[in-house]
Order: sequence, then C-alpha cells, then structure tokens
Amino acid sequence: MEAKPLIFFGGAEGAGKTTCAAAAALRLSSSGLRTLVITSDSIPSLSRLFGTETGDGVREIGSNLRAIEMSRDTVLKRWKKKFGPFFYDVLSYLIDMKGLDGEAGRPFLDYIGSAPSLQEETMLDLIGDMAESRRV
Amino acid sequence: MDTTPSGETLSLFSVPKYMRKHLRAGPRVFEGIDRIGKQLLGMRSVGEVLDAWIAASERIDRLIRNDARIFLVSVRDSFSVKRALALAKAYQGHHIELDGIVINRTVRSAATTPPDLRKVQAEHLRELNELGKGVPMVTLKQISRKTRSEDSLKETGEELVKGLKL
Repeated sequence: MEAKPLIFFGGAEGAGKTTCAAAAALRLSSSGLRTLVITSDSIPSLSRLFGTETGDGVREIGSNLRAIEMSRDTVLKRWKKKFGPFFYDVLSYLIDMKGLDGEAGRPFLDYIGSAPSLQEETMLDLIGDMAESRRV
Repeated sequence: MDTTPSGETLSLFSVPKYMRKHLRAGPRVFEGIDRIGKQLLGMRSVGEVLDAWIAASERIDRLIRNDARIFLVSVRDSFSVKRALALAKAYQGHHIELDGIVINRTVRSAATTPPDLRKVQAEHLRELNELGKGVPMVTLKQISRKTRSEDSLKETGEELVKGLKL
C-alpha cells in the first residue's frame, strides 16, 4: 500500500508544530524522499530553523528539500481568487456588492476571508493543487 | 505541514452542500433566482455557484481523508493540552482517524520546574498518554530552545520518523 503523501502536525500555538514539520521534513529528505515543508504560522520560523531564507514561493533549501512559508496576505489573496467568488456571486443576488464595498471602504471579502477556517481551507486547497499537479 | 484543519474548518466543507439543500427547500424562489441570474443579469446562477463550491470543498475533504496523516503536537501546559483534546474530539466527530501524538517536552527543564507546576504537567502528560492510546506516540527529548541547532533538528526528525512510522 502506498503511504499517504501528506503529513500534518497540528496543535496549539507554541506546541512545536513547525519544529516537528521541519525536523520530519529534514529527516525524510535526507533519506532521498522529495519533501516539501509548508508553514502558514503567523510567526514565521522556518527561515530561522533552517538558517536560510524562505518565503511565499517554493524554495530549495536542501537536497530533496523545499519549503514554503505562506504569509497571511498571500493566503487571503488566494482565498479571494479561489473561494471569494462563491461568496460574492451568491451574495450578489441579495446585495449590491459594489455599493457595499464602496460604502464600507474595504472589500467585504477581506472581512470574510480573514476568518481562520477559511484561511485553513485555502492552505489545504493549495496543497491539493500541488498534490494533483505533482509539482512537489 | 505545520497545521491541521480545525473542527470548524472540517465543518465548513459541508456548508455549501447545506446551502444548496436549503435553497431547494424553496423551489420557486430558487428557480426564479436561477432564471433571473442566467437570463437577465448575465451572472452565474446560484445553483452553478453552489455546485462549484461543493466540488471545491469536497476535493479538500477527500484530500484530508485519503492522502493525509494527522499528528497532534502538545507541550504539557493546559492551553496546549486542551487544544489537542479539542482537535482529537473534532476529528472523531468527523470520522477522521488520528495517526499519532507528539509530546513536546521543551517547556522548561525538570530541575527548574516548581513542584506545583510539575504536578500539573504530570496530569497533562497522563491526559496526552490517554489520548495517544492505540496510535503511535513520541515523547521528544528535552531540548533547550537556546541550544536548538541543525543537529538537534535532525535528532528530532529521527525520533519522529521512527516513533510515528513516517
């Protein structure tokens, strides 16, 4: 049976999720597995752990090892592009969304898209895209 | 990946499906909105929007259930343990199996831990051990945050890969 390719470390802030993800990724990559480590933590720490610059895009940080450190802004942008239209189109039947955005001074989707669950959904969707396209 | 979906996120995947179901409860309104959207406003119909939304949500749900292994990490403090227990309960509610537990002992060294706190930590350790029954569990060696290095990261990786059968 093929091993499940995705490994998630969850828990509270400060529990050591990023350290576990980084440590497991380092070990798995050293055994020859092509590995991508992803963080969306509000306090970016992959760069510090690996002693090299990481960022929003996929970056090579070692042999067989790549990393992505997704910022909240990038996740919000992706959500607005992928999931935002679902909310916008449904709400448009009930509300003049352009009028609302103009009045509120900030796009309404910015408020919705900043919800933690929607950000998680967006990260998972990104991983789904990568798994499907075998870009990892 | 240094996060797992929360219970709220898992529930979110069902929202578009429920929205569609409840739109259908008022078929005249639904069909009316659908027709106006398509023919007069040039917008996607509500039905089309919700179908696309359902498909996107179901894809993520399948990804978690079929392609992912989920491990919970906790230190021995109240907030962290409560969060781990809440996540475990949420997965159980969504019929998603937990693949393992990591107990992180990096809070502070035993020598400098006051007795009262040590007692609380012991109770949390018991809760985490209970949670980890039947699944792989790793208790990481105590590593000071100050001395964390690539070598200690490799050592931790080794413990995780062996202990969690990654």
